[in-house]
Amino acid sequence: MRTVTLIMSFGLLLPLFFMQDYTKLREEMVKTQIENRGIKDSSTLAALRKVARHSFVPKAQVHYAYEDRPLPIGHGQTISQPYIVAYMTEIIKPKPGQKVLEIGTGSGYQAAVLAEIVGKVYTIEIVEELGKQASTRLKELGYKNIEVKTADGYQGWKEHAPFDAIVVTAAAEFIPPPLKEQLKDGGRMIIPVGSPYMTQQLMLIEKTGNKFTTSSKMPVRFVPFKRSQ
Amino acid sequence: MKRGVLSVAIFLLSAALIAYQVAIIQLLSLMQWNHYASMIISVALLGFGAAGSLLSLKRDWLLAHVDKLLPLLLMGCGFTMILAIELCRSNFARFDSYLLFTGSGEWLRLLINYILFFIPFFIGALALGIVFTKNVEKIGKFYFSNLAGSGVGAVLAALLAWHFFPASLAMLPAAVVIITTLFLLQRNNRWVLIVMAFSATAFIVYRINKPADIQLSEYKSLSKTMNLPAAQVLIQEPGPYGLVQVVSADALRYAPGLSLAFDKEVAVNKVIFNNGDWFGPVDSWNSADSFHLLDYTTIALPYALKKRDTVLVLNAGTGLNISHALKNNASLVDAVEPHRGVAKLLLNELAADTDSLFYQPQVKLHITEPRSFLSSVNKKYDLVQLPMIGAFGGGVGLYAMREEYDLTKEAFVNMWDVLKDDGVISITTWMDYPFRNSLKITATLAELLEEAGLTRYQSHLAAVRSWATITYLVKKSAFTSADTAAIRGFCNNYFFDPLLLPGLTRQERMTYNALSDSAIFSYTDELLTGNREKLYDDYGFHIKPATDDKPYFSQFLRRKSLSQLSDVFGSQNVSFIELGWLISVLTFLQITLLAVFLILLPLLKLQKIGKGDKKSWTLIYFSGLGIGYMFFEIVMIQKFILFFGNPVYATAIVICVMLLASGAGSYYSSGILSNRVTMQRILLMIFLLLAVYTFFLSPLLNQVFSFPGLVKLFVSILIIACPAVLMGMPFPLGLRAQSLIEEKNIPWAWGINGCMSVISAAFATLLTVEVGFSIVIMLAAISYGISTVSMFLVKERIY
Repeated sequence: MRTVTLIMSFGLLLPLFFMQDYTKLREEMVKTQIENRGIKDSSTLAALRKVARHSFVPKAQVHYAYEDRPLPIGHGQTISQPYIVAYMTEIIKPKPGQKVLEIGTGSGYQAAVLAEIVGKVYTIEIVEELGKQASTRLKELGYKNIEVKTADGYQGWKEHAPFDAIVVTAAAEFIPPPLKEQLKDGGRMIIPVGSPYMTQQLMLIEKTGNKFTTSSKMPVRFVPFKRSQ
Repeated sequence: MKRGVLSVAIFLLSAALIAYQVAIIQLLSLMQWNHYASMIISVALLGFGAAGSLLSLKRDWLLAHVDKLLPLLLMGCGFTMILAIELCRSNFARFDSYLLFTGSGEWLRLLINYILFFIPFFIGALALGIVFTKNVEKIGKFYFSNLAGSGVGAVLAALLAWHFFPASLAMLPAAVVIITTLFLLQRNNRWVLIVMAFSATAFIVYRINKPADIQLSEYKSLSKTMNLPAAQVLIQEPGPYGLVQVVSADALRYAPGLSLAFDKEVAVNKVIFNNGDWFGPVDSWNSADSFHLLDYTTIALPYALKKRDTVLVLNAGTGLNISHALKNNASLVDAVEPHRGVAKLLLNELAADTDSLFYQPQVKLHITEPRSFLSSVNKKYDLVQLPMIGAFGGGVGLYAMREEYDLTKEAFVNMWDVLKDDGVISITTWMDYPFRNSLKITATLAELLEEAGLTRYQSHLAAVRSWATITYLVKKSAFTSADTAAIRGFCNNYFFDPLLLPGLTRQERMTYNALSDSAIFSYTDELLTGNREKLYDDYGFHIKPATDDKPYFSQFLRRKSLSQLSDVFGSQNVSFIELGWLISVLTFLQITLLAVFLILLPLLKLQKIGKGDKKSWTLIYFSGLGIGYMFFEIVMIQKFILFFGNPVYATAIVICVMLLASGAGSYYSSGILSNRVTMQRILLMIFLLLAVYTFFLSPLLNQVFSFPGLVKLFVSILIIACPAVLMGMPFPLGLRAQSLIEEKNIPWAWGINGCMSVISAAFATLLTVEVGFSIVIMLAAISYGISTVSMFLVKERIY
């Protein structure tokens, strides 16, 4: 009987040996991929340490959640590389109480990171299924300051404008005029230039009165993702 | 078996094999990209080489069973043709070019594709080889049937591409081969084969009526667009230029690098895709519109300086630049578009979407190649406009191996010649990083001005940069102070920055759009004022202008820059910066390994036959023929893309002319004695003719360009056919000589020729990118020269 109990206990405990210590992985991710590459903003680093990235990726990708690369999330979309999320967060200079608009919810990870810092995040996803999944996921994770809408990001979210910052996570060949209008004077918008599976450059747009200036940031390197089945 | 029936069977089988090649080139261009044309040519030749090897190993047994084997081989060839098409689309074998270098095992799927496509060519070639070996004394006539069939098959496939979707097109040759089997039936297995033939034909008919879904690479523009809500394919039309698809989706908008000053609505467009690649938005222009979207992009730069009365729009695509010219009050717009399929759609089904843009009285559409048009036009223009080049955020080099004759130095000289005195050429590129397109354009324009005898380049060049695009202007006369003031005003209105402008200050270059790496400015200045050649040598990418001899504008990668790129972007990302060239290298290496294996295998076996059989002559002579023939053929295909408009037409016509001419040469050779002096004379004539082509082909073609259509076609055929007639003779003469020296080595000779052709076909593509067409033709001449000299090795055996 004792032997049976021992074997059963061992069987029950066995999965623990294979369980990942996500907190440790996250810490390592922040140190090696984020801090080492020059991200210094403490609120951004804290947010990345806190948000459970593995909760935002498909089950088949959980194992790779903290790797230095984007991952496919279905519908031809990706969850950005952790460094890009960090960079895009830091560069808009987020502060508590601010209102941020995100275009391209995807998995909801970027929105979650932002929500750890700012007052309210409005996020728009064009692919209905992704939008629904992200909304459910964010609710389950307890984010009350994120609002998700399924719509064409081109129109922005007029009812809640103006925004302190806009984060466009899906590359676009043009900046939709409504987004510029919905940006506060002195506001910042960040967008990736190039396809998500290539070397990308991030571009910052700043609004001063009716004038806009852009500045391209360093290209971001990443490990390309694997074939989606 | 009757000789006449056998000739017909050879003709049909050869036609089907070549048509199948053209069809799978089309299919892979749709599923992947157009890099696989030379791979397919190589795979087909590999089939021929391997068949030669098997013949050398099992010659006696194969020849003893020829009557039974032939129908079985043909049936097998037809069945495996069908099987390859069905399987290459399945999850098991479908590969993705984008992932070839990511360590995800895609190279293995690529290898599976080689094998799938190799099998039908191998079986078909084995059937041909058995007939040739069995009838070596009448080889000239059978070889003629083979070459004539191949020529006809190539042209038929290109013509049928207008009516059949790529996967269905590939089924037609299978049907031809299977039906041919019925001519060769023997009594003992007749009914089994008849039932098989009818079953296969029924399946083919079903597949043609109900084409199977083709899953494109998920990284193709079309795949990404179909992820948008409410995306649907409205129209699809097959054609030799590719499968044209018109797609609509709720959020499809096009505004390339739109100014941040734009505050109006960007309309939703339908979009045209060609082989799954973005071709252009269907212009939703309306004559009553108050503005044109392109007025808010850098593309509007030429109109910011002055009104342009006469405009020439090259590669007009879906017409955005045409409507832009009309909105800017052009009184004449000559629009040149070579894609017949798209032009037909715009003139008919999509005419209402574009407010009948192509029927406006100011617009004249010319469905022809831009270079042809430039050579024949007598008008002068205020503006010559090229389409946008590159891709948003920079491309990944998928067009690296594509001949782009509209972006060569000679093309710009042609454009310069049709400019009015104060006319401008305008070209826009997406910005890329590392800087490639922008620097190559600057270098090309600098060399154009140098060619025009102008030394103060900066006075004739202007360029404006937005956050995403750069538009370059080159003006025949110098820019005036009014011009520069207008450009500065244009930049301030739309938040753009001047990149090139007479009297430009350093600070002006980044007023609105700052760059993290400002080296583009120093490189640009160096190209215009410094030691251009030194920068060409030192820069990490090929930025030397493309020429008609090396028309690969989008080929930037250099061997020496691979490690540099790896350091900057990480080794796994290098392939994502310049994928096209690396795919070609990978396919070449894989195919070479297979080909060498196929040569060595029979060589080891044949060594047992004994010494004194002049194997070294066989190796040198037939290798020389294989290399020389394929180098010449591949260069002709690449060169005549300029004439015939697209790779499929060029491939089909060049293969057809070469094979028919070679077939005629081969037929004629059956009446010639295969003695050493005659053979050396023929080889020497080929050597001399190709040597002349090395130096005079390009100037000759430039002259021929301006000839009327039919004359041009006739002269083109002559240019290809003259050497091809002669090149058809040494192979059958060599086989006959081989039969005198050592008959058992005939299949080996055939195999060597095939395998060398395989390697040369794949290698020629890489070689032309590096050294240019002229050098490759010279190498073809040298190959024939070596074969000429090799005849001395057997002077005591054939007199």
